[in-house]
Amino acid sequence: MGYSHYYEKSGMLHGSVPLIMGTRLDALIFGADQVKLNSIWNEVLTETERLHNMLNRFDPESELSLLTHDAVHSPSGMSEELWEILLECRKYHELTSGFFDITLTDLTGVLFDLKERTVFFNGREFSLDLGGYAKGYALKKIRNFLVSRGINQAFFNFGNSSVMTLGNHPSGKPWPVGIDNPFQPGQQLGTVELSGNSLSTSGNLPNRRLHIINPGTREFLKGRKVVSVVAESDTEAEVLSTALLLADHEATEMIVKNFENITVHTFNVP
Amino acid sequence: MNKKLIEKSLIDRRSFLKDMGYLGGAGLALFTFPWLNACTGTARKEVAGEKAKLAIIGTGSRGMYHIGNLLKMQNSEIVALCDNFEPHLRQAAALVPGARVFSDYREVLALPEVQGVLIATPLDQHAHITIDSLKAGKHTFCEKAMALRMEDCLAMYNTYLETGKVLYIGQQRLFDPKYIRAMEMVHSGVIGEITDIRAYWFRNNDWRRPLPDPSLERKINWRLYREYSGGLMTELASHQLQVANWAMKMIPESVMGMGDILFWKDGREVYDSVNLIYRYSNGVKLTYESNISNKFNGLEEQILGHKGTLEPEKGKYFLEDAQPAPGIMQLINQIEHSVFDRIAIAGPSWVPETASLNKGEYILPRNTAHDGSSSVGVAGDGSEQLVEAFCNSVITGRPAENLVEEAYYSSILSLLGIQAMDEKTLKIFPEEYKIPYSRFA
Repeated sequence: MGYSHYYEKSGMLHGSVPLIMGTRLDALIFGADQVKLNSIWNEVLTETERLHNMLNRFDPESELSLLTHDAVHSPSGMSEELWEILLECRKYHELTSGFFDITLTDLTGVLFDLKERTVFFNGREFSLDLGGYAKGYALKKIRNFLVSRGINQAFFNFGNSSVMTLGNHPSGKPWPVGIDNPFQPGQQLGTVELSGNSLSTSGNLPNRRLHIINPGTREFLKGRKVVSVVAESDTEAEVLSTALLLADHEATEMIVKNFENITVHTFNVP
Repeated sequence: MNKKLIEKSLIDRRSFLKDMGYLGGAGLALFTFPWLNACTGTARKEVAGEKAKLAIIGTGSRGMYHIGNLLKMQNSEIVALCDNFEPHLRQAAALVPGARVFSDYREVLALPEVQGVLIATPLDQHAHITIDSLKAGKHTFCEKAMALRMEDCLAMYNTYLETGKVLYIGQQRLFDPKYIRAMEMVHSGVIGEITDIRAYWFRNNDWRRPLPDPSLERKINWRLYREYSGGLMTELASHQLQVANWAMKMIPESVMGMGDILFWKDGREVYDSVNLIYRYSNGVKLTYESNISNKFNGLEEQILGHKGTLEPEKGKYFLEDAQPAPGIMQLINQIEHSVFDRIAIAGPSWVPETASLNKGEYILPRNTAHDGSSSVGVAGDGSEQLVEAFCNSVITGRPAENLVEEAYYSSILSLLGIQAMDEKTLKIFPEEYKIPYSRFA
C-alpha cells in the first residue's frame, strides 16, 4: 500500500502512505544504502499499520474498541502496550489540567487498577479517542526504531499536523517548516526550525470548524485559533497542541510549567 | 503587446531558472540537458551589454511571434527582414523600422553585419536557406521541423557539423521549465519504468489562414499542400516525438500508421486525421493521434510508468498508489537541487478528501499549460528562452549542445511516419539516417 522512491543523488528515500491513522504519512529517510533504507521503510510501515489497527476507534475489532466495549461492565485487561498508552494519557490529562482527555468528557470517571492493570468504566459508556495522541506515539516509536537502525537524519510528515525530525536538513541547517494558515491557504502564520525535535499543530479547519471539543464544557471549540508546539518528545508535542488549543492564556501558562523543552506558538487568526 | 504583458514576460524569464531550482547555477539539469547552458545566469553575464545582430527570414505568423519576443530582449538587434510576400514583409518592417528589408534571402546572407539568421519560412524552404546561411558563415536558427525530406535533414545536420556554426532548431519544449522538470522526474524514476507513451494533438479548425486573393492559396495555406508541408506530422507531431524520445532516451526502431483526409475535404493534400504507433526497441509503444475536427482532448504527451503518469503539457503528474503531499515534493526537489528554503507544510491535520478522483499534482508551482488551439505560439512555452539562448550563442559562437540532435531525430521520425501512412506499411528506422548521438544510444 505504500509508495517509495529512492533519490540516488541525495541518498534519500521518500516513503508515502495515502491513508493511515486518518491522514497521510510522508517520510524522507537518509543515511543508508537503497536496500537498507527500503527495508527500514517497510518496517516503519508495518509498525504504523500495527498501531493503526490497535488504536483505531472506528474499527470495532481494534483492541481499543474491544476494550471500550468490555470495560463498561467489568474491569478489563489489555496488552501491556495499550496499558502503558492509557497510563501515559492519564498522566497527560493531569499535566494539562484536564484539557487533554481521551474520553472527551471526564477521564476521572475511568477507574484504573494499577495492580491488576485493568480499566473499568463502572457502567458508564465512554469512547476512547486517541486522535490527539496516536500520531505522536507512532512517531516516537518510529524515532526510536530509526535510531536503533543507525539512522540519524529523517523528516516525517504525518498529515501536516505532526512533523518529526531526526538531525538536520541536508544543508546542515535546521529543517525550516512553515505553518500554513488553514483559513488562508498559501499564507504563512510563521516558521519554526526543527533540529531533531517534533512539531505538532492543531487548529480548527475551515471545513471542519467544529471538531475539537472542550472536555470541561462539552462545547466545540469555535473561533479561529491555531496552536503549534515544538518539543523534544513527539507525544508531548502532540498532546499539548490539542490541549493548548482549548486552554486560555492563564491555563496555558500553568500547563507549560509542567513540561520542559517545549515552545508554544499560538496564532489567533483574524 | 501592452506594457503589463511585457513586464510579466520579463519577470517570467528572470524567474525561469529560479523556478527550476538552479539557484546555485550548477543544477542537475544543466548537466543532463546541456543545451540549457546557453540561457543560465552565467551565460547572460557573459554576453551582458552585447547584442546579436539578427536577420529574420520569413515574417509570417511564426516569424512575427519571434520578432515580438526578440524586441523585448536585451541581447539582440534585428538588422534585416526578409520575406517574398510583400504584406508580411511590410507588417514586420512596421515593428522594426530600423531594419533593412529584402525579398531575396541571398541578399540578406551577403550582409556582413548579420551575425545570426532566424528562419521561419514554409517547411520546403528550410533546408536550402539553412544550408546557405551556415555556409555564408551565419549562425542559424531554423524553425521545426527541419525539412520536408530526410536527405535534407541530414544535409542540414552535416553542414552544421562542417561549418562549425551555431544551429538551433525551433523545439521550444527543450527550454520549457515544466518539461525540463518533468524530464528530470521521469529520468529519476518518479513514475517508475516507462511502459507506454500516448501523444495526441486535437483541434477543431480547418487550419486555414484568410486569403487576400484566391491566387495566394498555396502560398498562404502552404501547410495544406504536400509540395511544402508534411501536414500534422511535421507541424505538430514533430514536437511531441521530440518529447517522447527525450523521455525514453532513445529513438523508436519502427512505425506503422494510417492517415486520411477525413473531414476537411477542401482540396488539401495533407491528412487531417493521423493515427500511428511508434515502437521502441524495448517494446514501449508511442501511440500518436492527431485530428483537427474535434478538440475535446486538446494536446498532451502522456508518459506512463509503472509507478505513475506524467502529463507535461498540463504540467501534472499522477502517482499510481499514493499522492505525496505537495510540500514534501517541494522539499524533495529542493534537496535534490541542493537548495535550502522554507517549506510550507505544517498545519491542522490533513483530512482525506471524500472524492477519490486522482487529480494529480503540479510539476511546478506556476503552470503555463495551453490548450493546443494556437497555431502560432503561446507565452511561457519555452519559445522565448529558446530564442534568447540562440542570441547568446550567436554572441559567443558556442552551439547549444545536443539541441540539433534532439530536433533532428524528431524531424526524421515525423517524416518516417508520413511514409508509413502513405505506403500503408511498417517502416523501420533507416540506418543511413542515424547520426552519432550518445544520448540516444
